[in-house]
Amino acid sequence: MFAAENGLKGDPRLQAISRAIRVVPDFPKPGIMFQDITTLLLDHKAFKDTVDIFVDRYRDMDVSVVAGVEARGFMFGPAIALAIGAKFVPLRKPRKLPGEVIAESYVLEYGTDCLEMHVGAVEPGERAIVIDDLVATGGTLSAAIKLLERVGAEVVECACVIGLPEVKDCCRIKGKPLYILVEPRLSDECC
Amino acid sequence: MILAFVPWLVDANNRARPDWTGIEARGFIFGPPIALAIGAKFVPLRKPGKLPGEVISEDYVLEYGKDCLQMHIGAVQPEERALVVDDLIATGGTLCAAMNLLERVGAEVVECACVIELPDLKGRERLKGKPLYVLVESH
Repeated sequence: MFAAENGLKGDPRLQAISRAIRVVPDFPKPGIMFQDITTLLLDHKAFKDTVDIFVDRYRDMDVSVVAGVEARGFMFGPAIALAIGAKFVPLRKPRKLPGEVIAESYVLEYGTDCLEMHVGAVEPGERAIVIDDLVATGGTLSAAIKLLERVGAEVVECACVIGLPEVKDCCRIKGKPLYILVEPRLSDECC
Repeated sequence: MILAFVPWLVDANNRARPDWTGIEARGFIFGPPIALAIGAKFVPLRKPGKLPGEVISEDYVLEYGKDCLQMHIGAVQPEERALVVDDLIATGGTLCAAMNLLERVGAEVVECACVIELPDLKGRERLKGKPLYVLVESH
């Protein structure tokens, strides 16, 4: 669900977060309007508000694991984990994690890839959220959910800063709720 | 661990609020919480092809091969005071490339900060005289 439809309607922080995200046309390939969150990270107040909104939502949900998808999920996940007293677990591309891993393949918006997690990072019965900067088709998040469920964790929710319109009508990934702050903008022109 | 960084950063911060740059990808795990805590912006330094906007690039030699680091043009302004964070310093090649990127856009690198140092690899000597702050050593 979108934050504006779930208690944050009219919250000025959401507008500022949306405006702080830069739109880069034709990246990584023609036709894609890439939502660049690096400009959000340059805006300290908007960046802090982004993290605070997630922290406010998850601090009382008994979450002990924040799983972040490489690499842009790493920019938001640790701050949320620290604030809510959870551990941070990186979900990485193949051969980046040095220890024993489990792997899950998935289809991307533009290609295929594989996500890995360290064996032993997450215990059975732990409650987890998955964080990434953006959800498009949900393929990456589905792989993340599968990794966590394969080790016996319960995925409480997936959280993303930006959600493409495709997910608006289907607000669940593999049956798990999805929480999104903003929709993508079509350009950097004044809206 | 974060608490160990923050008091030091508050002291460094008394002069002017620095930028906090983190090196892909393990630097992204530590950098943003620190930037948020000290009121700095966070600037990711990334492998080629990841940053969508216009970038500047710096090649460097790794402990085990070579690579290239990129930064968005416009992320850092001239004369901004910057800190660089990574999880580990080995030969110092990556940190040196990061410092070069920042200095090329006119920023002043105040210090480099790493969780772990491998002192036997003498990476500290490649930081062009800039100070290095580490939490633990590994031999």
